[in-house]
Amino acid sequence: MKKELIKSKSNFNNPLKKTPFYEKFSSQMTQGYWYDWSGYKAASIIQDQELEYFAIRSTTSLFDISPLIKYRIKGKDTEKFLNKLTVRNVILQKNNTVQYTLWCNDDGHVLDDGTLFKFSEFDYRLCCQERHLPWLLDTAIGFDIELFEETDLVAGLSIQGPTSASVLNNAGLSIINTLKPFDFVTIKKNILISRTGFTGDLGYEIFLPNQLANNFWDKIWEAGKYLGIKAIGFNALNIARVETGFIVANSDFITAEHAIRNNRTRNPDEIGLSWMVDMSKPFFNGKDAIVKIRKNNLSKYVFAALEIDGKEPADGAIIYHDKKHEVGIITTATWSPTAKKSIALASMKLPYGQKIKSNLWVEIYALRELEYYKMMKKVSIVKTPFVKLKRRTLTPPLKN
Amino acid sequence: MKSYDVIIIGAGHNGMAASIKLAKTGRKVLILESSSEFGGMASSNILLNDNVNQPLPHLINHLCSKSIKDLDLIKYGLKTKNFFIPSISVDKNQNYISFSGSYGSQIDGIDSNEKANWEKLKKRMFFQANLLKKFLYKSPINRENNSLFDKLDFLKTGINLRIKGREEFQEFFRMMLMCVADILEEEINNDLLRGLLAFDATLGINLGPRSPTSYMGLLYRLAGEFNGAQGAQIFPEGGIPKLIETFYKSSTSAGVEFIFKNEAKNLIFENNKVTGIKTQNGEEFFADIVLSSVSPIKTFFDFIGPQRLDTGLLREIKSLRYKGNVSKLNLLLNKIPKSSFLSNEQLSARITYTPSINHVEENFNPSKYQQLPEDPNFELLFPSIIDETNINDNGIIASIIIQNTPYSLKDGWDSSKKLLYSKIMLTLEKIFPDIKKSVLASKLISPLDIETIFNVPGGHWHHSELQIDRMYSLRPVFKYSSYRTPIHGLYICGAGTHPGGGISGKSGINAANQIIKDQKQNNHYYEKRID
Amino acid sequence: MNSQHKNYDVIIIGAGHNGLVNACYLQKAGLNVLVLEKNDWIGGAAVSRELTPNILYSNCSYVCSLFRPEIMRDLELPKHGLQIIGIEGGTTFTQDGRYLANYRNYHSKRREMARFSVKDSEAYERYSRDVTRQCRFIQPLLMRTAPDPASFKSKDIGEIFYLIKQFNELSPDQMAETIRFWTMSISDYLDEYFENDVIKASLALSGIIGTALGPMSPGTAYVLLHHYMGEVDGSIGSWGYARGGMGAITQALSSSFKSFGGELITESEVENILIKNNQAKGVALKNGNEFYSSNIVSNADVKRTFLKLVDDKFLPPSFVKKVKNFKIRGSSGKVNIGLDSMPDFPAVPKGDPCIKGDIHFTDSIERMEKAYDDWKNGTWSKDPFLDMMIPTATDPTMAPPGKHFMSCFVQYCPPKVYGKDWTQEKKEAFGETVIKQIEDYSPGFREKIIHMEIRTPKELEDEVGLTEGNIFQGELTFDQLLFNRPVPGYAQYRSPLKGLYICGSSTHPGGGVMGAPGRNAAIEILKDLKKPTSHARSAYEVI
Repeated sequence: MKKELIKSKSNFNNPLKKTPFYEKFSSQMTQGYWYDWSGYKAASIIQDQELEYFAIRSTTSLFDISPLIKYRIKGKDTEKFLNKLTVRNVILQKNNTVQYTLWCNDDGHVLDDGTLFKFSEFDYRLCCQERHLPWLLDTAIGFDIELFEETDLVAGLSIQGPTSASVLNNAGLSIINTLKPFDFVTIKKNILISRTGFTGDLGYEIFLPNQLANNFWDKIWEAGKYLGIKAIGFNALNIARVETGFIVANSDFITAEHAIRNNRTRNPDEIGLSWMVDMSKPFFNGKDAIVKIRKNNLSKYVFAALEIDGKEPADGAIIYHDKKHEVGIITTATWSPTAKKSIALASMKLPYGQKIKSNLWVEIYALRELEYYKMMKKVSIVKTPFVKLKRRTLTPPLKN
Repeated sequence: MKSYDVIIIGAGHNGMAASIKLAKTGRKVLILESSSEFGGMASSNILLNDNVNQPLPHLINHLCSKSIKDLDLIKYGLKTKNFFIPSISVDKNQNYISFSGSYGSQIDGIDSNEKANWEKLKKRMFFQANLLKKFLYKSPINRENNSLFDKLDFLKTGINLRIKGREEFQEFFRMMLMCVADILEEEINNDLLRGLLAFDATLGINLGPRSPTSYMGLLYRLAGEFNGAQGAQIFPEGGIPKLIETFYKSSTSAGVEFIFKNEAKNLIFENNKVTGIKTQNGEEFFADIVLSSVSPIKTFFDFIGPQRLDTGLLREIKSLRYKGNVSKLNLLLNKIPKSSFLSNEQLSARITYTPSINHVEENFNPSKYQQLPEDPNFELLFPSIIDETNINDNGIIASIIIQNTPYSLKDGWDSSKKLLYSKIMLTLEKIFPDIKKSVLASKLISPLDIETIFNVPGGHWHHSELQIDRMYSLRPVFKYSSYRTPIHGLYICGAGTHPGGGISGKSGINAANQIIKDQKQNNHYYEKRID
Repeated sequence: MNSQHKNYDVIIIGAGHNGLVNACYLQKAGLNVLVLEKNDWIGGAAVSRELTPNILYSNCSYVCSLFRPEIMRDLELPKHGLQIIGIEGGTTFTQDGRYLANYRNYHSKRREMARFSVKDSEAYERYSRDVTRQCRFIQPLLMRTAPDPASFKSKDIGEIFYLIKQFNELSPDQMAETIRFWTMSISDYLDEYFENDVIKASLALSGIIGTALGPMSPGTAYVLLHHYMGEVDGSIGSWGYARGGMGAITQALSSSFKSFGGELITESEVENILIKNNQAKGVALKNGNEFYSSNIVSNADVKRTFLKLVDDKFLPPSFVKKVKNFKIRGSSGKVNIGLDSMPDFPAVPKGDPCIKGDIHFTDSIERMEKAYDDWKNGTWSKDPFLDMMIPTATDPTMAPPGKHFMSCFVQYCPPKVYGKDWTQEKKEAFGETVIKQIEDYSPGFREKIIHMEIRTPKELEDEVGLTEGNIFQGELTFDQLLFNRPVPGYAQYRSPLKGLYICGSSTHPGGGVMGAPGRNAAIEILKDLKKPTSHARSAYEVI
């Protein structure tokens, strides 16, 4: 141990690590739009953002999800531990399924959201955006479990789009035909395929040991050759996820351990995830607080999905009631190429967005050749998803 | 099915104090005690030999008139010696000062100049301690108790402080967080007097006199009073066991039931609401309210359990500093020892070996690194000399409290005890040349022993460190400083809660008041709910 | 006796950075200001001096972060040549041959910590959030005069309400956090976040630099905050070098001062302040000269000002007693070294920028605390804590190519050794302790030394005039902060004597090369003189 530490390389010149798929993505990249995803080099755009979006919605897209933080939790008390940690009841989760979940701090404020893969009642994988080791280890006090991070051991690839099932079939993975949404299957060489994704479209996510990454890519690439397969960056994915109404931590809400300022943290009800909180299960982190919040109506914000007049994107815009009072802020906005609408996710101050849903406006400043067009656009509150696709849930999946 | 209104865990002074308050309101109260005796850390289950025992504490300085009245202690036999126990601060060269009355109202061994200095300082300290005193008898202000009415106390204190004049007002805010050494060095010159005060300020906590905030330790001590005499240390007739007995008698007379030798093991709770206690031998007792007077570490970790604690709270409990640093040495002597410079009468004083501030500080230094001091400071009392009723045929007891002897030692306690004993004897021989020969029996109790004997994690006198960052609203932790816990109906009242140490029953009384108030108001906190 | 009849509106004693900041603001307001400096150079403890040919030494203060950007802007210091450059790295060497580097990049830094403890590397996130919260709370208070809580003046009451409002904006939990933070030891505080000794030691050091407390003394968490609340271009907590050494700050100030028309005279040590009818009248110099003004501002610390420069008889005894009780404790020394070439640190890979920042050899809190115990006993630490920097690795203007200036801040070092004065022999032994520690981690270091200057608190006192050589002009314990600094009732830069002011680090908000005391004092003086203060902008908003 000691020797290894002495010899360890300087960390200053490689702040961002490369993922197992790095070579594959970078070889296709034409402009070098990289960004920092939890300390890994991840692509924003591979070649063309719009075309990449259309790959998601009309053919097959490949997106590198290796930087997802992955924790493995094993042992006798795994379920008890996860039931204390998260707000959903993991005992109700079936083996070989994925659960979208979140976890809270003492005050019932959301620490992060993530997905939970259940291999068995003694073996789970938790995937999330941020690192939470201290919180997880402290939560584990009193439970007989083993918990470790396997981000660097497991590569991830998201294969999304209407032809994705066909691509996988071409690659000899017909086993996916029986997968319903949120199911997963582990095939030989420890390759895990789940029917999940962040696009609201037909799609699969593959988790596999690092050393298999290159070969697996090649196989999929070959299989998708005539099915419009395309490597994509985050920007395209981001449009698809807004169309679906998915929120992203530290973009649509601030996670509780990051918030420096007062009142920036949010409880599950305030970010539209109240359905997740299972009050019928025994104690979990934040339960006491959430009971109190609900009983005394202490929630101050509400999550809203908005359709905005016109076509200008409204990122970060302020929402007004009656064009006068500030009642909220848009957290993410985009033009939806599929719905042909300007859409947005927003956080609104109660009672606006819940009891008061009309006469809402956003103020958009559109900079065009060094002059601002200042607009008040009418918004209406709608239900997510903005784009609903039947193929997302059809089992067996549609093939092309 | 054995059903009560309130079950109290632990028959220490706080548990018993709470039981008296609660039983007097007509509640049916049970006290569960794991040992065979009442009194907790003040109980007499430390045997010197077959016939003699001497409990850990030997003096009281925090049993305020209000506690005595509230708990009817006089009615049940509390008598005290009709004098306050003086302190004599000695060094190894036969110098000493004698510090008597209610906290040094008389001092012998210093010149008149120094006396004037002391009077001035004392007056100021008494004033400041008095301001803080009223907060000892209340649930602290916190997230739950923060009405305007609660805050009024602060305003009132502020006004009281301000009308005392600009100087006092300023000095209060300046001195509050200072180290005791600086204050003493500003005002007085006598090393023995400074040493004594430095010792008093830091006894029982992990601070040296040069650690900022250590002055608060002295104020805390001075916030105690007896019959209006501030800072007075008294010796109950018959010793501490007799005092504890008055608690017990008052408690039983109020109708409290005691069960001994039955250790509370698990809390029974359903729907987040406490329903009772399961004991080690499998018995179950039921009540809507359980009040734990044991250490918060134990309450939160053993009774509630880490699995039931929000992780943030768990972190805080885990970070409580709960390791004690005070040891006790009890000696049984075959005769009254003869001092080379103290008169026989002076042996009924508390004799402290506190030569100077630096000496106390130097003793504190090794304790930071889990080592024993070179030349330990201690206080010595001869209970059998102070109180004839305490004399028995077996001999004379010397009760010694040794400072800065940490819970965990790098060399381990087994091998260190002998060393510590010989170090103490070395100093004692400078005062009582023949003492070594007259020792019939001796018993050294380290913080580690306190942990095992009294079931207090860390063996800390105050259950958890009594420093400013863990006082008042921050004791034991901010969220649960009103004697409540995350489990509805489970309350805490040990020394780990506000106001903390000293045999005073204050934490118990405050907790009982909180319970009564919560039940009366049918406080949201107390309401049943379905999980 | 030689007296100068030119009348000044204000005379400032001492051309330290606070004195100069004060002078600039006053001169800029149209007053006629004279600054008197006892040395033949200016700058007090913010100087760059050529102690050996061609190498500039920041031989007192050595890094800058706290200097307020508002002041730099008000006084146009960039125009007068001041540049602050961010520091690139930092490292803590361990006794077993490892090192923990500190980089500016978030992930590089996290991965470094993860080499010692993965849990701690992530706990750092929560720790830095909590400390940032405290910084945000304290920052707006730096550029305001502390209120006098005992006063009933509307100004003071208003200011107290401002403080209460600031505090009330915190959530209840954060209030509790804040109270705990201000009263805890840095060691206990770090224990609540971290498990690894090296990581704890590398963070604890800011809690003790310049103070006569050990990491286990309550109150050191606040001292850490005092070092963290600075900023370089908006990045809170980061430190920088002044291009050309710390003297660049005072040079820019003096140039700014002169550009406003101020007058500065060096080699003019003030013997005493002339008082008549409870009113300052002027100063008498050691050389016999006298200068007259009814407003005297002292940049010296509060003890030197009122116990040495003013005769006791002019001051109320209770005030004198309070000043005597003010705690100024010399606890640190410095060893300044000119180097023939960059020292090697075999533990660190070649080219790693971490040695361009602060270098430490103390890898556990226990070692720091033991160093403090030595000081308490009356001597210098046998295993001292060093805060070592090589500014020339970043700033090439200070030394010829290849040559370097190295600044070693040494903690702890007393103003007297076992109550006796320093001798040459002891001084050398002290220097040797330091060299030896460095040599343990940098073999061959000794051979690279061209020149060395050993400074104990005594030198600092003799030369710069800081009582006991305390770099903060007074301990940063709670009893000496805010409205208690320097003494209760006189925390608003005034004194019991009309027209006599103090503006050094003895006053709120305290030491570090911050400039805020000088600026705040100027505002109070201008208010007394009924002059406009609009040229002193208020603190930048913290949002």
